[in-house]
Amino acid sequence: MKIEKTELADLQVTSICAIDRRQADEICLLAVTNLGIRVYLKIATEKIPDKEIAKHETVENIGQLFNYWRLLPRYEIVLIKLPIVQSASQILMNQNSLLPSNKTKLTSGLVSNRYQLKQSELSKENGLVVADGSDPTVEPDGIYAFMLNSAFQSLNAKKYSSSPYMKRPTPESISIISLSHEYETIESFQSKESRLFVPISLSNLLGHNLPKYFSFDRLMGIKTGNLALESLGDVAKQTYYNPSLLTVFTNQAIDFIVRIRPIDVLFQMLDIQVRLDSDIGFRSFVEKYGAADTCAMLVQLYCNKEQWYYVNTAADEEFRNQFARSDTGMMGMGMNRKSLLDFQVKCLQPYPELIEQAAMNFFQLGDLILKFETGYHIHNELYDTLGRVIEPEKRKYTSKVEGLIAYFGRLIRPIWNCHVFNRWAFIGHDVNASVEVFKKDELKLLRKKLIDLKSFMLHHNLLLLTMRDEFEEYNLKNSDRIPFYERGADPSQYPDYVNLQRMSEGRKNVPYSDMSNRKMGIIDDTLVLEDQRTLDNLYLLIERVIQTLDVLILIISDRNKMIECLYNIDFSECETILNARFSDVFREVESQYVLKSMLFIHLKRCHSSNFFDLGRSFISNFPQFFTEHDLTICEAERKLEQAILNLPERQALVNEGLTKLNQCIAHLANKKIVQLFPLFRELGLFPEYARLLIQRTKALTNLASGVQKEKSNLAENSHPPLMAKETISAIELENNHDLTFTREQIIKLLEELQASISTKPVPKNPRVFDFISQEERLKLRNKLVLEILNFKDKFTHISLIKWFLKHALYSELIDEIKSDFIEDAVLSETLPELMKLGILHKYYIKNKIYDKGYEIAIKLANYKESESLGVASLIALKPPEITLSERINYLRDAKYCLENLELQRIKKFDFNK
Amino acid sequence: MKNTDLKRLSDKKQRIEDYLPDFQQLFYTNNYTIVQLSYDETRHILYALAHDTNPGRFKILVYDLGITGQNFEFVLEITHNSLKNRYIFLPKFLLKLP
Repeated sequence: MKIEKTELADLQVTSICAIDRRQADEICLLAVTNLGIRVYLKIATEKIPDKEIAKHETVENIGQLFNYWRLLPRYEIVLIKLPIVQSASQILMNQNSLLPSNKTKLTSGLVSNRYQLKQSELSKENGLVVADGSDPTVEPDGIYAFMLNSAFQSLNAKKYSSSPYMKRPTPESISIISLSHEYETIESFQSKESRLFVPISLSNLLGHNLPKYFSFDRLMGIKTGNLALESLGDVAKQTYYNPSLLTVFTNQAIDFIVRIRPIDVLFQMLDIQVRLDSDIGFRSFVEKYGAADTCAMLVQLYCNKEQWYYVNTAADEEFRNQFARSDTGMMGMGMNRKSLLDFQVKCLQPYPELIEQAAMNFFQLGDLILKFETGYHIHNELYDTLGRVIEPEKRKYTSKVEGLIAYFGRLIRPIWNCHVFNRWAFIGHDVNASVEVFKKDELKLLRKKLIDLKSFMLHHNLLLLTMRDEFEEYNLKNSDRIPFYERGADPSQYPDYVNLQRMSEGRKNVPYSDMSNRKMGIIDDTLVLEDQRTLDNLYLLIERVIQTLDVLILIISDRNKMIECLYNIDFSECETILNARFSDVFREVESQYVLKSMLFIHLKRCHSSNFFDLGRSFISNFPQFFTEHDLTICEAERKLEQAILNLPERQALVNEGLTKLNQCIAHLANKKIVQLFPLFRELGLFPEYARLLIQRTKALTNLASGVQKEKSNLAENSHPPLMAKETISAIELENNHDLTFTREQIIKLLEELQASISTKPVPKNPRVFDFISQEERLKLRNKLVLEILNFKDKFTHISLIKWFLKHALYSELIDEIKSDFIEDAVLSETLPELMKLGILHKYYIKNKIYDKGYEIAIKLANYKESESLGVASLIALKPPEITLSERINYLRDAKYCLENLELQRIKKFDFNK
Repeated sequence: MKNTDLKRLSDKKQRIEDYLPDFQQLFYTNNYTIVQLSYDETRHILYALAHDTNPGRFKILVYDLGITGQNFEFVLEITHNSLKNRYIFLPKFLLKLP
C-alpha cells in the first residue's frame, strides 16, 4: 500500500504512550498521530552478556533485574491501526475532513494484559469492533464484541450478525459498563490496569510481577509452564481472580469490558432460583460445567460471603422475559441483538437466602456419582492433566466430595509448589544472599479461606458424611460402572497430584467422622465408607495446612531476626530449611522437621526472655509441630548452650540439661540426636552422649515390647477398631527404624574414636576426637565400652563385639568384654574357624565359664585340619594349622575346666547342704 | 587556609552540562520542546515526544536507563521523516483497521 508523500505531509505525532512488558512482549511504544492513526513501534534489542549482568546482581537490585538486554538504535513499525471512525478507504482517499465532530477520534490506546486485540471487523456506520482471542490457553472460541465508544449508540444489527466471524455472545463472554464519570482521573487508571483482575494483596502469591528467579516456583505443570491457577482455566482461576477487565480509552469515555466468570453466572442462576423459584437455569449450568465443578463453585459461593459477583443485568432481564413467556427451554440464554446495547454489569454480594440456596443445591446435587462428568472440562485438555487433589488410581467419589476436594486444591495451589523460604541466589556465583518469604497478608487471606472451608465442613458434618437413600441405591446400582481414574501405576509421575491419604498423616487429634471408632466388619457400604475416609483425610489435611500457615505467619512476622538466626545455624540444616517447598511439609518427614526446627530457633534465639509462655502457646497453637516434649527438649538444648558460655555454673546447667533430655528420651527424633552431638562435643561430654544413646535404645525397646503386646491383644479381638491396625503397624515400623538408627549411632561413635586412635590426624580436616590426647582417647574408649556393656541389649552387644573383631582388637576383646552374647557374635563373624574358637576359648578360661570352656577346648584339641585335596597339597607341604604341642595344651585346659567344674559342683552341693 | 592534601585531578575545563544531573540533558535539544514524557518502568525506557517550533515536525527520543534504572543513555531518535518513510513502505498486512 502506498500513500503519497504529500498526503502525509502534516503527519504529526500528538501523543506517545509506553507499553510496558506486562502488556506486550515486543511492542514498546504507541504513537498516536493527529489523524488518529496509532503506530505501534518496536525498538531493537541486544542481549547483555552474563558477565555484565553479574555486576548488577546485588540484593538491592533484585527487584529491578527484569532486563537482560540493552537497546539498539534501531526501530521498527510493528503495527498501524487506523482511526476507528474511518474505514481504510476513507483514510486513503484523504477524507478525514469528513470526520463528524461529535464522533471523535481515539487519542490513546491500551493493550490489555490478557487480551490481545486483533480487530477484525469494522462497520462503517457504528464503529463496532470485534476483538479476537483472549488467553490462548483457555478459550479457543472467544470472539468478543464490544462497543468501542459510548458515542456510537445506533448499532446496526444486520451487519453484526452477517459477519462470518461473529458468534453469538454467551452470557459469560462480555459486557460493557461505562464508568468513566465515576473515575476522576484517567492517568491513574492506566498504570493500575493489571491489578484489576488480580487482587493487589495476592499478586505476589499468584506469581504476578515477580522477577523470573522466583516465578519458576509458582508454576504448576512442568510441560505447560503456566502459573499455578491459570493453567487450569477459567473454572479454577476464579477462586482467586476477579473477572478480567479490558479498558479502552477514548477522549470521551473509558469503557470497561468485563468478562464474566462461571461463578458469576452461577450466582445469577441462584439469584433467579431464590427470587423466581425456578431451577431451570441452575440445571443448565450443571449440564455445562458438570456436577463436581458446580459443587466446587457452590462451596466457594458459600465460603466467600463477602466477595463481589458480577451480574449481567441484560441476561437477567432476558431470562425474566423468557420465563414469563414459557417455562420450557432455556436455550435462548444468548442475547438478542437489542439487548446487547443494554449490557450492564452490576456488582452484587450474596445475601443469606442465596447462601442458603447454595448449600441446599450443594447437597441435592452432591450425592450423585456421575459416570461421566458432562461438560466443560472435557473440552479442555489442561483440565485433566493438572490440578486435582486426589489420589491417583482411585474411583470417583460423590460429587460433593469431588467438589470439596477440587475447591481445596485450587485454594492451596498457588502456594503449593513454592519454597517456604526462598533464597535469592544467582546462577554462577554464590551469594550474599537474602531470603524471600511470603507476604503475611497473603498467607492470612489464604488461611481465612481455608478456615471458612473447614467451618463449612464442620457445620454440615452430618450431611456430608451420609448419603440419601435414593442416591445410595442409584449409586450402588451403578457402582461397578463407576470409572476409576486411570493414571498409571506410578504416582511419582504425577507430581501435581496430592495424595490425600499420605499427606494427611500426622497427629490425628481431631477426627472428622467417627470412623476410627467404628468396629471392623459392621459396615459393608463401601461407597459411603470410601467417601468418609476421603473426607476424613481432607479434613485433617486442611487442619494441617492451616497450622502450617500459622507457623509460617509467626516465623515471617519476625523476618529479620529469623534470617539472622538462619545463618547462624549449622550449614546443612540451613540448606534443608531453604530447600523445603510448601508441599514437602506434608510429603516428607524431613521437611516437617524443617518447620519444627524453625520453631526451635525462634523459641531459643528470638525470645529468650519469655521462653515458657511462648513455648506453651506453641503447644496449644501448633499441636502438629510442637508438643510438650519438644518444649522440654528445647529447654534442655538451651541449658546446654548456656553451659558452653557460662563456665562457673557449667556443671549445674549440664546436669539440668541432661535430666531434661532423659525425661523425654523416647521423643527425641533421629535428627535431633545427630544435632545434639556438636553440643556435647563442645562440652566434652562423650560418655554422657553415649549414655544418652543407650538410654534411648532402652526406651525404644520398651516401647517395642508394648507394641507387640497391643498387637497380640488386637489379634484376639474379633471386631477390632477400624483404624487401630494401621496405626499400630505404623508405630511399629517407625519404632524399629529409630531403634536401628540409635544402635548404629552408638557404633558410629566408637568407630570414629577408633579411627582417631589408630591413624594419625589429618591437619586439613580435623576429626571429632583429634583435639584430645591419645591417652584420653583410649580411656574414653574403655569408658564407652563399659557403658555399652552395662546395658544388656543383645543387638548392641553383638554389634560391639563385631566392632572389636573388625578392628582386630582380640586381646582387648578378651580383656574388656563380658557378655552373654559373645558366642553368637563371634561365631557369626567371617573369620577363620580356628581363630574364632581360639578367641572363645581364651574368653571362657578368663571369665571362668568352665562348661563352655571345656567344650571349646575339646573341640580345638580334636580340630580337623582343613583337607587339601590331591597332589597339590603334598607338593605345597603346608605347615599344620595347629601344632601338636598346642593340641596338648588345649587338652590340658579341658582337663583344668573339668576339674574346676567338679569343684564347683561339690561346692554347690556342700552349700546346699 | 593551606591544604596541601587536596589536589585537582583533572585540568580539563568543565562545561556547565557536566555539573547538571544527567537527565537534564534532555532539555538541551535545539529548537525542540518536550511535549510529553512517558516512562516504561518494566523495561527502563524513557520516551520523550518533542515538537519542533516549525509545525508538523516532531521527534521521539528514546533513552535507556540501564539494567537497574540508574543510568541514563541516549539510544535513538525517531524523527518525522524516518517515521513517515517507513510508514509509506509498510507492508500491507501490517496496516490494520482499528
